[in-house]
Amino acid sequence: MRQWVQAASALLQNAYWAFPWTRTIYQGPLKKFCTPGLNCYSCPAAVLACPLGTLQHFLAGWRPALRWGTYRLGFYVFGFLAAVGLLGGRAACGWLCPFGFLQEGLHRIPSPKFRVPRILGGLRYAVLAVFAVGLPLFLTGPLGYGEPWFCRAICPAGTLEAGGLFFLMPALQEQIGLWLWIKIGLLVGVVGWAVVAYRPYCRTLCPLGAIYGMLNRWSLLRVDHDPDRCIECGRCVEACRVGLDPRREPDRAACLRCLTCATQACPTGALTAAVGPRRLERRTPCAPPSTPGS
Amino acid sequence: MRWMWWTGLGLAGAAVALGWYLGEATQVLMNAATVCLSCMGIG
Repeated sequence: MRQWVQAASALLQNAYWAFPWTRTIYQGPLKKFCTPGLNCYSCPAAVLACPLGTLQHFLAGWRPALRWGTYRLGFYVFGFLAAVGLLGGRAACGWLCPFGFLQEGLHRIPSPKFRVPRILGGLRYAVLAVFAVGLPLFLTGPLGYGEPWFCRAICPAGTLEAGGLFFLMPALQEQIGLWLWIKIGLLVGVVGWAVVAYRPYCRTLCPLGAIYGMLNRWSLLRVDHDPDRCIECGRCVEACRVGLDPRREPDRAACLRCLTCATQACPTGALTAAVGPRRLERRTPCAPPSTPGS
Repeated sequence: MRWMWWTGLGLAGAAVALGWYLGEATQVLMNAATVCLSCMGIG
């Protein structure tokens, strides 16, 4: 079922199919709203705004916003990201992100398959801190505006989706420079890596996944483990595509909330997909067993 | 501790509403409705 949801999400987020005739991107009111996943708003077919691009645009304009007293500091996108993360954690990655869906499709291509080293997962926090927050905020021009550096230097989804504009707007072809070639190289690398590893971009580079992953622990949608029902068969570990042990780390930031472990792998119902604010007090250590006679 | 989760969601909703009031949604539209040259690695 998840693949159908992903396909429908990708189509709905990119539903402007008039672009071959209009030769421009969608500019209607739906673009006031962000999509939960990574979907470049310069994609000719995109009807919603990318939350990561939006975040960078606001951060890049912080200084002028403060100087001119508009105070448009990105409350809208900060609140949106927090709400999506609190509701589903990385479910937006696992169920709604078109670029994640694309990588899953690439991974179906028959080839030798490799694991993604777990240590590389920390890279996405560095990308978030440097390219999505730090550089847009601090590397500013004479007027005080920064630039969306993650979009400019890294985003493979942007390269893939916005790249179509080079064919629709030939004037753009004259402006191709170093950054585009760097981005094309990254895109080729990510596409090749996705063939041999499961969703490597999401697990190592995506700053949006880093934001949602930090909220996995508190998300409304969660995976619960009942140790009394668990027979330690390990099927959930085999089924987890991102290399987690769902019995012991159901809330890790790497979990994409695909729910495969709970809905397909677990034979005893020890792992369940649950909805509701987590009772954080359950995390407190158990009381020691009482001794006879005490 | 569930009140913390509801507080978080309430704050997130309030931030969205404040942003909308300040005109940020319109700014999102303006940013997103033009071809973002940075998104294509140029500009």
